Amino acid sequence: MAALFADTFYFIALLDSSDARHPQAVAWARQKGVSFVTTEYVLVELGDAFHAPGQREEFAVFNDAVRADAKFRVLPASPGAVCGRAEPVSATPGQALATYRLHQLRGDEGTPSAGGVDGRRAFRAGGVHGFVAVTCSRRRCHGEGGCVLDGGVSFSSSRSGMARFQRQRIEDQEFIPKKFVGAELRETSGKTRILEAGCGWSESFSRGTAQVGKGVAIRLAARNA
Amino acid sequence: MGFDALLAFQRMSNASNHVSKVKNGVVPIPPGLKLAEGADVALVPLVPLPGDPAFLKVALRLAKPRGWPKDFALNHGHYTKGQRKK
Repeated sequence: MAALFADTFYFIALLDSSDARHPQAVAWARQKGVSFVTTEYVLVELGDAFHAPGQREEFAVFNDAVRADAKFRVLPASPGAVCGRAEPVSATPGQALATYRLHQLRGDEGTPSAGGVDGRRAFRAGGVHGFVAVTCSRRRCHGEGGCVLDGGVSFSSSRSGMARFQRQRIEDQEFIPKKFVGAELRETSGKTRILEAGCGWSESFSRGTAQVGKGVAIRLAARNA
Repeated sequence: MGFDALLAFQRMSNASNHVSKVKNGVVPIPPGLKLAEGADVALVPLVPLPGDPAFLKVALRLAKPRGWPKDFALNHGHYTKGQRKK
């Protein structure tokens, strides 16, 4: 069975009925004989897009639905694939502890977003990196024995040893066509893996509720359950 | 009550898409759109259908206009991170 990699692109298109790609996203979901692969990084980025009050609950519902659907395989975030500053970016009392780790993940250092729709700060200033490597015989490989997929969180920073992968992102358009959600993968059992990299932070994505950015509630399924 | 449906022409990947609403059991062709006799048309209902994957049913219940740019899905990297538009 062919597996489609569902990037943030796909989920946003699916949930925004006025998006130009919404109909295609629906059509793809109805395809027979395909399954979807996504990552926790992608879901975090989706949660960030749905950070506004009222949208957070919608995201939580959708997040649960994706994780529960047999048509989806959610690859867990890789412990150690995330590194960043130690201090939380939010000074809001009471939030710091709960948001500590995912604020690290957000990696916000205050760089203004260029053209952000809601004035949010840019994602990319931090030293946080999420990458997923999936072996794939049908596409060009990017070293380490696998094609590098967009983890969906952040790709910038020259601090990390992962920086080289940034230059090889899927946005080279060979892996993820412009037209739609993501690359078609031939998922070979046992060869899909998370690329271990980065530094520090080995407790990412533990069970419970955490927050992203301005307080996006994201229920993280218990990957270690 | 309307029933949103997508009319797609050519291949889905680069289709000219038009959203119409079912009226009296008929999907009207959007004004200004001319189709040759015998042209293939794909119909994609934008509401949950029996047999849809569970995640799609949830997604379609949640889907609504969100006031984002029309190309936000494709160019979310641009709008949120300042990347180049695709």
